[in-house]
Amino acid sequence: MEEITKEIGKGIYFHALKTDKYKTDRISVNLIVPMSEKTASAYALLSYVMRLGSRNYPDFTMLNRRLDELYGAELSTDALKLGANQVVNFQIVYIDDKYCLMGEEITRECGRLITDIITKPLVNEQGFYEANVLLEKENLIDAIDSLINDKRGYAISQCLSMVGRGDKAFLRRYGRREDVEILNGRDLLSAYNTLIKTADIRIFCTGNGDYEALAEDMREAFSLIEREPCQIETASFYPVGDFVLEKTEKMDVQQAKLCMCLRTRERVEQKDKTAFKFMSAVLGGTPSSKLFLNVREKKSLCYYCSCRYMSMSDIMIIDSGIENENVEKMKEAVLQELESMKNGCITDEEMSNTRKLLVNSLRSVEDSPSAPESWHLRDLSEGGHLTPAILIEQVNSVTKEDVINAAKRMELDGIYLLTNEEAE
Amino acid sequence: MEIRSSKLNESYEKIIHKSGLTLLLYPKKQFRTAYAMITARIGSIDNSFTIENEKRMVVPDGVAHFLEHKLFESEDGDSFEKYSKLGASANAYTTFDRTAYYFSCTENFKESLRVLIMQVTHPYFTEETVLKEQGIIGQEIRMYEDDPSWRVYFNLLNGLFNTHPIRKDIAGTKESIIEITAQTLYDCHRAFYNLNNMVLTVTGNFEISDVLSVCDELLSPKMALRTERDSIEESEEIAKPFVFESFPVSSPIFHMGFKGIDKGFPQNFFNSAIGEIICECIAGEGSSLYRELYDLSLINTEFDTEVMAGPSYIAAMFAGESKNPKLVAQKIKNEVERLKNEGIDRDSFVRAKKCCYGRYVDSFTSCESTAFNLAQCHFAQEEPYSVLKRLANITLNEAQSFLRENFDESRCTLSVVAKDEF
Repeated sequence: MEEITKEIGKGIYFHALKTDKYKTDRISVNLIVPMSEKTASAYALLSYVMRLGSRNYPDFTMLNRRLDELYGAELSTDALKLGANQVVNFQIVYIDDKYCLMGEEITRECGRLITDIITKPLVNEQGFYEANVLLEKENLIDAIDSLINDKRGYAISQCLSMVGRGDKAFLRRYGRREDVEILNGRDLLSAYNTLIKTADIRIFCTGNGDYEALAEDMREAFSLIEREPCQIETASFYPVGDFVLEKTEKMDVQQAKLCMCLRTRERVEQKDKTAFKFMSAVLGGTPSSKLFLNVREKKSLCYYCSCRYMSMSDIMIIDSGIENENVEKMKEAVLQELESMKNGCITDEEMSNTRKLLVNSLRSVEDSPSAPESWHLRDLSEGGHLTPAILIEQVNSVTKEDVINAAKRMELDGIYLLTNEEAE
Repeated sequence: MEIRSSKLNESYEKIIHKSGLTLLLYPKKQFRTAYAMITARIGSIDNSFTIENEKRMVVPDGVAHFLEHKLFESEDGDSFEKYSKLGASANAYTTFDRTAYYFSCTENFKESLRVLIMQVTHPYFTEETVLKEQGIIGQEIRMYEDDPSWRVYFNLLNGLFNTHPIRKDIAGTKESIIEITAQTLYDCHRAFYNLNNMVLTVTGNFEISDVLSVCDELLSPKMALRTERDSIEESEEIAKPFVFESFPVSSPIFHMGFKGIDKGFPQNFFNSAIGEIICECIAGEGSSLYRELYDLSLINTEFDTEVMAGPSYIAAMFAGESKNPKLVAQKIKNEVERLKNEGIDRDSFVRAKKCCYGRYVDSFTSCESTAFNLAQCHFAQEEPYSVLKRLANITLNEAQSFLRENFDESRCTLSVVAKDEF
């Protein structure tokens, strides 16, 4: 596997992993800006509107037909969140040249196509075309509203909003419905100009194409743009509150969703974060974790009860789906497992099982065309310079005492419950 | 036997182990991970059957899925814990017609493979552990009851099919799983977990000799046991053209399906590939219908098409979110009629074919999807590479006649979940 890393413009980093182990190749471009309530909706809407075409492909259907001809190349755009940052992502996934039926070479074309979408948007002097803007405003609003369709995701999101204290790392990736409603083509053009000028740009390619040529194409396209890139931000820290925040929401659901948020009194230092990840995995991150074995398997209270540590904001989320009448039992069971960890009740076997599973999952990062990218972006947002290999070393040196100390620092900060109308 | 694809420039070994188990071994040495999966041909639709020379059995709905959960338990402990000790990450799933158990690992491959083989060949159930599992699966069922995309899908199947067991939720119901006992599980295990009816697929970074030595060590030849499934009675007609369920969702979610003509495996499997091409022609992202629906805000990017096919069913589906699902359904029906009358345009057919070919190539990218493909094709009595070849050679005529035979307005159901009935 050959790696190419170069800066092809001011704050534009091109990274390619050359390998022939995958059947499909991908090019992914991330425009990273600080998350802000003022701009979140406009950038999200941009990601939707820009998918409709470019100056070279002004017609949506023509663009889609071209993608079909490129053996169903998948072009997708979206707005994501990365700690305190928002990412406008553009990616194209396509089969490697050697599998084309008539010997076509499609890598370079796919590269040009996605570069066009980003650098030559479909606009006139007034802005983005109003018809496109109107259409995609409706789609984006649908997407914002559809959060309630996934009850588990909705409960976690509501819990995070509750404990977020208005911080930008807890804003939603598409912003707010009311902010989308007032946007027009002109607003969007000015948002585009700011985005393309100020974003930190990270390009990731995986596959077997001619990446020197692709980097050159991209360098040329971006060279026409005046650049003043901003810094990727790290998330702010908020200590656990003086009292536990609580919220119960009622909806017509069969199963109650309980979501608990825990956090620390002081910021977790970078060097200690691995111990927190480890602790969260021992508690509820694997099928041999305490929550899985004791709360699911022994008490048979739920189908899932899992725990994740969000290292960017130093919070831990534990969520489960349960019968309405078991809410109190569940809270008690979860806190009891945490308490037992704080008291040092962790076996050598739990330590070694968790260690192995974490190492296995870190080693597997290199087996997916997209995982190294997500990994790298997450690392950037934490300001660290870790690699999976370094993290494996850190995981291997975490001791039981480290895990106990991490558990001791976690305190309950908020409890969110989504439950049935009929529940008391 | 080595099976090779010149197009993909890869190959795999097919070996019938002396125990009766079929081994499909697909090394991908550039990967760090090894992925192993054992699949048994028992799914949610297999709920009445006769083991040769014994009396017929009818088992409660959801038994295949229940068995999947319980095969993680053995007399000497939980398999999840055994995998964890080895650093392997494991799981399992049940579909309408199969149950699969798998793990992925970057070390201790042979030991993990031992756990996998022991797990599916050494059942251990007690009334007490069965009782515990009823609570867990009960909550899994509850979770799906709150999932609108799952509900709209099963409501569609209930509209398309009259008596076919595919109408029933894979996990069964809270009521049906209460009837499951340790004995039911032993019966089903004996009926369907015979090595002669199972397949082990391994992909990624492993040595073929390691697989063979573990199989030799743990598996002795088994007598093939014939289990006859009750034949499935299902008319060509649909049960209901429209199904609605009220649900707390943001905007209406719909699934529309055309019930195809069931020809059994392997035909249904290959037909599903032709069906995918036709769905692309009707409403793929490059089609004029897609553009019309998109411009009218009748669909958004959630819109998708799919063909589901199994040993006794095939259906083409169009799914998405819409403010007016009935209008979308009508427009799809109109387009189907137009294509039947005017014929599918050659350019759009060629594009759709390329698109489906590309997707199929992609399914050999990851270790996981390659293993899935191999097992799925094995039970469909197809060879994955030959599907690839045939996909590239499907003709417009074949597509036209498939369209005429399988997309019939009178065999079409629309399923909608929304806040309010309309």
